[in-house]
Amino acid sequence: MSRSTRSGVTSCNTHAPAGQGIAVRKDGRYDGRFGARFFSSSPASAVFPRVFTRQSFHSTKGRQRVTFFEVRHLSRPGLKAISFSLAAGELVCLSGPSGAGKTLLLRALADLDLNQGEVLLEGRPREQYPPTEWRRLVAYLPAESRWWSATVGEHFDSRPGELLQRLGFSSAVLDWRVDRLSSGEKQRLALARLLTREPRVLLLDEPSANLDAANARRVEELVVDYLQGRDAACLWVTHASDQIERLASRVLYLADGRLRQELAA
Amino acid sequence: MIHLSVADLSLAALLVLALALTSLRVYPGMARQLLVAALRTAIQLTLIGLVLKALFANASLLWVSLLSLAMLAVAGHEVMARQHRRFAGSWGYAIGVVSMFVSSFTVAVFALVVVVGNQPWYQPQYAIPLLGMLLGNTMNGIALALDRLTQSAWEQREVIEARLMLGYSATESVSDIRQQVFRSGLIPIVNAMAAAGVVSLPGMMTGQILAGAEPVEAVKYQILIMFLIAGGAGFGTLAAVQLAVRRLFDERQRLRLDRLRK
Repeated sequence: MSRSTRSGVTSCNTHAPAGQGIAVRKDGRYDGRFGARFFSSSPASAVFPRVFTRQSFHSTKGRQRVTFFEVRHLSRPGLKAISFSLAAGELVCLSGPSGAGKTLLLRALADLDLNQGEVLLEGRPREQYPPTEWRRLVAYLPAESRWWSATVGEHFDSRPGELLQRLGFSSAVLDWRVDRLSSGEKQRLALARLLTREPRVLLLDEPSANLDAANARRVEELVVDYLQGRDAACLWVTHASDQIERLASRVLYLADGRLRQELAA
Repeated sequence: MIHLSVADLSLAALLVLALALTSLRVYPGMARQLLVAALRTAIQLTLIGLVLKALFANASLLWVSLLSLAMLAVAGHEVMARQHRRFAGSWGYAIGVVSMFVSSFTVAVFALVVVVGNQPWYQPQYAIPLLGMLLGNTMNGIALALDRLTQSAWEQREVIEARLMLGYSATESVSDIRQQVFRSGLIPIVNAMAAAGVVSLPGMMTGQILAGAEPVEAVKYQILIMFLIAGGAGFGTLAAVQLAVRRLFDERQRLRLDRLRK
């Protein structure tokens, strides 16, 4: 599997006016026009069509670039002034001892808990997005998924299409009863459920922790393809060094609520 | 109407005393609670009897309003006291009081002015018992619903947040809880209406008949009061649940269980 190649865009902090980007409408909602193609049945190679976004637009026209996802001085009880950024298409691993605040950080980024500091998506601060839209776009996948209806299919708003096949399921899985799912099945289906909402930033909390090697690779490949097809970014919590080696362009290391080092993988 | 003497009431009190003595062997703590509650009944009802007597003697809007507000304040306290996990700060009190005020007082005034049509409309013989029955039932509905809501939100916080994480709104994330809560708030009055006259003879009608009223007239009043209670309790519960759901989430639609206290 090739490493993420779209990690070059990180530095400029220009605030773009709202709605300047091509993939974002005037009201700040993600333009879902690729959704139909994304979820319709199509050749496997076209599952994640490349989206023409601000980054590719700017790189061809040579205009000033906007950091795709930027966090400035994020703090909350348990976290101290976290700053980092993600480029479109980039996958960054987040590591650190348990209790270091990784989950707290992901929850704060998804704006599930009170927190201070700036978080910007495509140059626009999160306050400019409706909260529901922000959480759809900056999507947090907790380590343990929750299911509230009887069957799997009831948890999907739109048809997951090829996502299920790529994760090793047939489409009959939608009729399966939730209480019969194994933890590994739940974990993969929760990822599929998240991706059907078409997020731009994935916050994945050990998404392959309960999976065997084959399924872990399926999850990795699906996420990497999704990031490249949709110009999305991903923060992936993991402790496995081989996984970091395979996936990440950078590693963020969190200890005692501080982002201590950024090691090149 | 046959007047009851203190001796008559004492005979009935012997029954409670006997129960308390018997329960001493089974569950000693219960005997004390039982006696305290019985004593409270006797004292509180005697006092309200005296208050009503004085009120009927000089029926002014001011005094009727004051007594109504006092009843509302006590009902608000009762709603708050029955919450296992109530909202912290003044919200815990305000949600119940505001929704009871909006529903019970509106329904009471509507009934007095439009339906009963007394002169003056605030005549305490009608206004106070009517409001009392409305407040009592609305209070029960609201207390049940709020208790259920905060408890369910606490227990199902992970499911609610799982929905928020997928980009669903606060309203969507609690819609099933809200349905159950509304149901639990309305079940008592629905049951009361369904069983009225078949299983149970409602208290107000029974009282009027004991006082010598014509049964068919008493029944008409009972039907009126049942409908008023359904309206008052139903709208009161709706309002309380609405306010409470708002308070459970903040302006960024985060689930804020830290606003509850145990």
